[in-house]
Amino acid sequence: MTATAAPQTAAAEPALRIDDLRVEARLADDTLLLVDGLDLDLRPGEIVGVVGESGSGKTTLVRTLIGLLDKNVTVTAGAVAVGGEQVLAPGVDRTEAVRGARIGTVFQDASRSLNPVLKVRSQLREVLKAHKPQLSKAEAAEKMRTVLRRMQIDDPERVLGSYPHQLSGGQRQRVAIALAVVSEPQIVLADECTTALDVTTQAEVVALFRDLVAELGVALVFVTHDLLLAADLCDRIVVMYGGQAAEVGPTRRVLLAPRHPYSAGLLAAVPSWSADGPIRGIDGSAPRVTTAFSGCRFAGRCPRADDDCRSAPIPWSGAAGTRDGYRCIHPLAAAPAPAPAQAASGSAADR
Amino acid sequence: MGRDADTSAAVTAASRERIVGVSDLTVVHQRRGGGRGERFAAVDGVSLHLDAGEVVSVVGESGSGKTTLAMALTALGAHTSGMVELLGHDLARLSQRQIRALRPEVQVIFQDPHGSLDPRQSVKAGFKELRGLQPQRTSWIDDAGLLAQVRLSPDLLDRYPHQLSGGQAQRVCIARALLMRPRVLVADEPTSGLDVSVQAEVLRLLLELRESTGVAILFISHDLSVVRRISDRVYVMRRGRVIEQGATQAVLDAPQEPYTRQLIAAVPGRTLRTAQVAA
Repeated sequence: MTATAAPQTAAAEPALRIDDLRVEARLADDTLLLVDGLDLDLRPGEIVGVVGESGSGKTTLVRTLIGLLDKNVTVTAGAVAVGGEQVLAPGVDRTEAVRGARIGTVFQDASRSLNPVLKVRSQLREVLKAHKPQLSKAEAAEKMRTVLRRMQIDDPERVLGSYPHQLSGGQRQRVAIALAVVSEPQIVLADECTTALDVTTQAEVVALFRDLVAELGVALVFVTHDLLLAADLCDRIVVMYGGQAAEVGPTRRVLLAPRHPYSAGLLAAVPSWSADGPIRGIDGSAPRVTTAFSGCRFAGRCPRADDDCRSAPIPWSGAAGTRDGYRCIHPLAAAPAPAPAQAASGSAADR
Repeated sequence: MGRDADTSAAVTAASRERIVGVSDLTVVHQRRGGGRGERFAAVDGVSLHLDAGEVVSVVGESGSGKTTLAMALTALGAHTSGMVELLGHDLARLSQRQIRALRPEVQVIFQDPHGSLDPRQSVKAGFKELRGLQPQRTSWIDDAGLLAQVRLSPDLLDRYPHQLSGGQAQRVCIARALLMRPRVLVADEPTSGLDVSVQAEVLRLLLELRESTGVAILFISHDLSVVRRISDRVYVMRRGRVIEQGATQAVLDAPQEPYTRQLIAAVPGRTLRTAQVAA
């Protein structure tokens, strides 16, 4: 009921608020920390990119938010609020009430998130029945056509009457997005949803998301391993590593002057269009983080790591009143000035 | 500019022997679900060549015919008309037996490394099977040495595919290809499913192998930023045809065809590019 009474608080209240979230997986002999101390605010109309390699915790984060965790995985600390209402905390799980209705999710593989034996029309209708039961048949039909048009599908009637296998990969991904947004959720989680697409289709899907956010004011969490893609779409970037946020900040700042060596490493590994130096990877792979892990998670792969990095947990360094910052005691140099940079500031970007 | 110097040095270092020559190749498929005898040309009159030590990319979106083209020159896929020459042999004139003898010369690395490895076979058992198929050809190196070539530790020999990370599995696939001492490596979207840091390592490895073995690499990709960094020449395919080709930098920095421009515009990283220009 608080949801309908929200209008005055909506502006102040983030669409999604994550505080100090900790998610653990109990195994036979130890406990893994999948997400640890994660903070995130997402306002309506904002796009946050969650970027990291496999094993960074980004998919666990998505699954946590929609309550699709495995049995042995639980939230052990922190809280998640959607539109000001707490939905997750230790021992609290109200995700079922928000999943689909207020949080829409688009997964990587559209062909697997669509039901192969149902026409698109039936699948959209199922979502509307569950989350917008008050709609009449005609209203529902209109909504379905509208959402497909919004997805830049020119012939919604044909697509509505098609089975998934009759559509191209790009169309299937549009339908998957339509399924996620037809119930008009406030938050959309997109989990690697362009990874399997070729660049042209990927660019189209990214443009779709941009329009969705601009027109409907949804808050978008765009999860990807592609830092440059995230940068093209997102207002802010969260770089995740080993279950923690390694760095959080406005896109341009993170790209041009990353403070965390891992962010810088990721940037150097991307074969960017403008660079001509050798392609450099990051040696090693993400650590297995158990509850006994101490020190910086990236220390084993970090060129700047010393004994201090390995001996104690690394505190978060951030400006007061914002969630921006980084988790590193030997950060890279800050950008010289936030103002339009002059020629001298090129060095940070050239790395 | 360092890139240009490196590439030309590599090309001159290797002999400029023609490894693959494709002329006017057409591959016609039956359209899936067509049912009306509908046929279409997945590859339509394509000509292409690949010389020793070259890295040549074929780019285009899904369905443009890239993979069909690659399969035609591995002699795995049949072709309808035109000529495919491998090491000077016209594939159409060879017997099945002769084709089998040529096959080790062309090795393929696929997108999904876990999909190309037998889940029930350890790395070592996989090598053993390949050695059994081609005892003489594969005797040049031992298992540990082979893994060292792809910068993996010999500890991995006893692992099964599910115990390997994506990057490790892809290196094992590359090692298996190398074992045959191929003259051509066809890499079909070999880094698409990998993390960027792992992708970087795999790309670097491919370039090192080109230097050390002189293998020619045909790189199939839709990722133009990767293509730009690793290839000497590029062919742009659309709907089965090569619509633009040339030296990589010439094509990608000054594309002539609207479609090539469109592909380039779709490459992620515009934000970084403009931000860097502004800085």
